Amino acid sequence: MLHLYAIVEQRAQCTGVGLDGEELIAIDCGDVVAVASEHARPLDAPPVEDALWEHEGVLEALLETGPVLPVRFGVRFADCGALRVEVQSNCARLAKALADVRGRVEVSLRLLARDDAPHMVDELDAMDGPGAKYILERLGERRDAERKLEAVRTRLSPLAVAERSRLLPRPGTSATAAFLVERHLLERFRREADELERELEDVTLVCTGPWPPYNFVDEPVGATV
Amino acid sequence: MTSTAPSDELQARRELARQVTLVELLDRILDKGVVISGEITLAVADIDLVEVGLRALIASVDRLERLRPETTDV
Repeated sequence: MLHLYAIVEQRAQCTGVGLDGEELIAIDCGDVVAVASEHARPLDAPPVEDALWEHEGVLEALLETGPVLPVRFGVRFADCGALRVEVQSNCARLAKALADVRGRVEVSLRLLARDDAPHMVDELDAMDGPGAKYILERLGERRDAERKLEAVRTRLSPLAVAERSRLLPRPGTSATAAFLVERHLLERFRREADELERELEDVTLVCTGPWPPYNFVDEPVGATV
Repeated sequence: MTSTAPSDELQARRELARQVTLVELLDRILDKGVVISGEITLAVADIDLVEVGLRALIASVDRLERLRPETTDV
């Protein structure tokens, strides 16, 4: 069984080991190269955290050698032939995506609501009807998240090539945003995010990265989703 | 007021950083990235949250401290 990690441009990028210490192999698929490892015995399902970090570790090492398209964890094939058929049928799309992320990395921002932020609508307390109150609260929460995300976008988007964001992905999180950033602008982006965090009074920004460009592999980089 | 030994505090911060980074990793590795048909074997409900952390976190320690309630929800 083959576990697939990534799509890259050059065979030479593929060195090291993957899950269970198995050596990485490069499989030519037309204009792109698939990076995989071969396993004689079935891999754990469900995966343990170690396996997720091993997969990520392979991607981070590849990221240092050239453009890389991270593959979602868990994509496996019976043999090289089956893998080649699938990857080759997507070759043009993948080659274009590789070109889009060359020299760029992903940076993540998580916007967390602060517990001590002022409550938005005190007048809601005076409203009749729990249904109306609930709807208005959700609406207010959404508008608040939009406002915070807009502040982040305004400040950081000029330093990024592309951005993908999500409002209210989970309780306590106003928004998450992923930015595709040129490597040489990474430090500047980080400093700007730090500064912005100090300026914003009602949100905590958590910035992590650089990540492989997980959020920028299936949509054209120019598009904002 | 409680005081902790420096090593305990450092350990706590490392643990917090690990949890924050794990949330980011899970958001990506299981939900983003190239989707290519293959045999996908995946279930996340029973992920064993053991240790390890390859990534250096950019976030400041202060910010991580404020994150604590959020990250218990991995």
